[in-house]
Amino acid sequence: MSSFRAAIIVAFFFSGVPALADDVTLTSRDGSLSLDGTLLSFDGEFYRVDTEFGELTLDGSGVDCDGPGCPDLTAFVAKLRVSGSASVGTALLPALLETFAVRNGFDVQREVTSDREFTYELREAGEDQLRGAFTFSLSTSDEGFADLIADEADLVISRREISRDEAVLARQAGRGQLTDPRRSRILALDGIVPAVAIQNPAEAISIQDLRRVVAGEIDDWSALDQEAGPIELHITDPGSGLFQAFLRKVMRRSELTLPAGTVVHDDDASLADAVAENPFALGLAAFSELGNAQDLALEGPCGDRIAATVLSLKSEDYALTTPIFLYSPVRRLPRLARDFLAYANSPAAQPVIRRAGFVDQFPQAIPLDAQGQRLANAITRAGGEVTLSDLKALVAAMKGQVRLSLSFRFEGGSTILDAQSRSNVALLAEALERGVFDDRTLTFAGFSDGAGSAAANLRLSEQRAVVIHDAVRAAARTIDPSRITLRTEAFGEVLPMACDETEWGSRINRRVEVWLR
Amino acid sequence: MRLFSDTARKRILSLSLMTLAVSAMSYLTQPSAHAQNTLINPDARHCAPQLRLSAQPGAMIQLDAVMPCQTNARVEVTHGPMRFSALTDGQGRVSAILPALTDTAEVRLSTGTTVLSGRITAPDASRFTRVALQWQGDAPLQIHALELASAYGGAGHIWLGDSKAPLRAVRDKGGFLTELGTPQGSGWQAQVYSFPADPTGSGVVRLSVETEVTAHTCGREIRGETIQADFAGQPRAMPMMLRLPGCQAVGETLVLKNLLRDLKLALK
Repeated sequence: MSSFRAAIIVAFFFSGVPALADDVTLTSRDGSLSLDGTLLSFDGEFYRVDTEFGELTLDGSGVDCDGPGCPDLTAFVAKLRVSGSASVGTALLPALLETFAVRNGFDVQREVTSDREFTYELREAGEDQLRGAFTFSLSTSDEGFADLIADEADLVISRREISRDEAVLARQAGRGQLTDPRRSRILALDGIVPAVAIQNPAEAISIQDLRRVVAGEIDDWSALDQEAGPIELHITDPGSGLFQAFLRKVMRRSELTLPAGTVVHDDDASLADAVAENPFALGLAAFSELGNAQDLALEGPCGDRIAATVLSLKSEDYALTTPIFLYSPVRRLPRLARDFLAYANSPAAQPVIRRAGFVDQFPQAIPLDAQGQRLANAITRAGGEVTLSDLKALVAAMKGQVRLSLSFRFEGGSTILDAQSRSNVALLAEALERGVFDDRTLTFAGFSDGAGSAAANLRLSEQRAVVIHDAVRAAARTIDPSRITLRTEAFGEVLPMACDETEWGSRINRRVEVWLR
Repeated sequence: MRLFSDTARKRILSLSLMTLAVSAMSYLTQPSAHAQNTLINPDARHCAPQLRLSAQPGAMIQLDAVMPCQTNARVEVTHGPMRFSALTDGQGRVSAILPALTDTAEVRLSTGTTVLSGRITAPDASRFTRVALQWQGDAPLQIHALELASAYGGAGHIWLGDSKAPLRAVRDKGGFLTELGTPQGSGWQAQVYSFPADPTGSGVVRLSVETEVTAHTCGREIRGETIQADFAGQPRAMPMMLRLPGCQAVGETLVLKNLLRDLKLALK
């Protein structure tokens, strides 16, 4: 207790007592303005100065610094501490960092202590002076958020969104409101895939069966219509974001007693390798790291199957997508770190993300002829309230259109977008601003699940399409409305992607697609 | 803890006596040899160095050099970003078999005073994906490749103890490992894993780097470089400094799965 009090006194002393003397004078380049103060920090771009007017932040490019407190501008090293998911952090971020360095003329050196503890050092080509040090200390998404709360990380790689409890702790610790959209971004897309060895003849599994296996209710392949044999379940660390995303999406709880004999792995690659070796194994693997194992498609109770592919993950037609998030605390990161993050989210970085095995966020076109399965579903499920004329109207509306991979899905039965879809609003708006779709017509096509009356569903799907249209239009501030046509159309329950008998099936069906003509 | 026998340590670099027989594939270089040692030794003709490069299966280059006035001397061999140190024998001879990184391969030898270089065409170089680790000093680092779900110790586990012949790449579309350099003092050594660029199957080759922590290596920092294709597909060297665990970890094996990127093969 007494040491705690001492700490407070020390903190008060340092922050509350004015500095002995002003140690910097910042003068604007034309000499018209001058400001004295104590330098609090310099991030390579901005000076934070305590002045008689209070704490001010000044753009370093506009002022000259004079005085003993001035930083050595040539010796500034941008430092960034990266924490969080090892599976993502060991593969994806280094790939992006290496390409960023090459593009910007930096030499890179790695200092390696272990697979999870390493530093990338960036220097201007041919120079000795260090410009940036990106230090990685990787484990799980859980640990990443803990590090951020403890102020031991500037950037967290996570396979899940921050939990409510973590966000509260972070706010109390002064790290800002991490649920604020500006504190996080989606870096890439990924998915949870059921994986088996090549020798295993299974091709698909239903989410219900997957849930029963993980809950310990099914422990033999015979229950999955395969040759009898014990199912050996493989998962990644329960603290890993991948497994937690599975718990939340499939098991609908945050904790679970695993069946006896479950094999737990430190990272996605080890899991894939172990599964590839054992024909009786069933693993909850990452799409980005299937290794030498093979994935099973997800099967709905109506026999509909959706396999994880780049397109089905981008469009969220696959049920178990897991976006990869980057979180940063409220403080300003050094210029070089911000440049890197801007690069990581730019179109230029998307091919690197793909080559590293992850799914990029670049919108892709899905031609109508690749949508045969959807039409087949629609025809199979027609009858009752969905009439032949509804189907004809749908086919007529789809004619000449391509579907963009970027789609919008909602939390529960609401009009609240899920994380990937929120990111898609920004991505689409940004593409519109760049003029990617100039002289084209974009249709926001709303769909609903089949629960309730067809008329009500049509209204719901219309509402959803309008919500997305308005959100994208509001986010795309600089578009030229004369160059592009944005419209909405609603189809209700006519074109189901999955069957509504399951909660996840209806969730897949409640969507807004973007069609391009 | 795995140990490997001396017989298993098949040093590709052989210091055996060699004959300068001119085969159909051989290639003699003289013009580009900067015989700086002529300044030191008045008998220029006696010291004239010779370098012969010849193409071998698996896009390998046989290097035979003789530097009569550089006996028992350390030679730095470089080929693009690849580098290793070798020793000349009592007659100033040195030989090695190294992987060609490019279709037109330039190989350079330097003792500090004598520099020899030669060029050779290795038209099959682009048919191989090469991944290399090179480092300074005598620390026993090892590349381990597990090809397409092969188990540790299985047929597709390629490492120093089972490095496979370059012909395996040609016949069986499998990989092989090449060890380069004579670990001595601050000299460089290298290990290069080669895999056919047009594999017959799809899947992943896992690449790891392992080293046993010994009383000699514990707590040390190893300077080196990794060479692998960057995200534009070009071979790129990246410097690294490897901090080995402290001496409380003697007897353990440090396994680094992320120093080298796994090879992802896809049949397209």
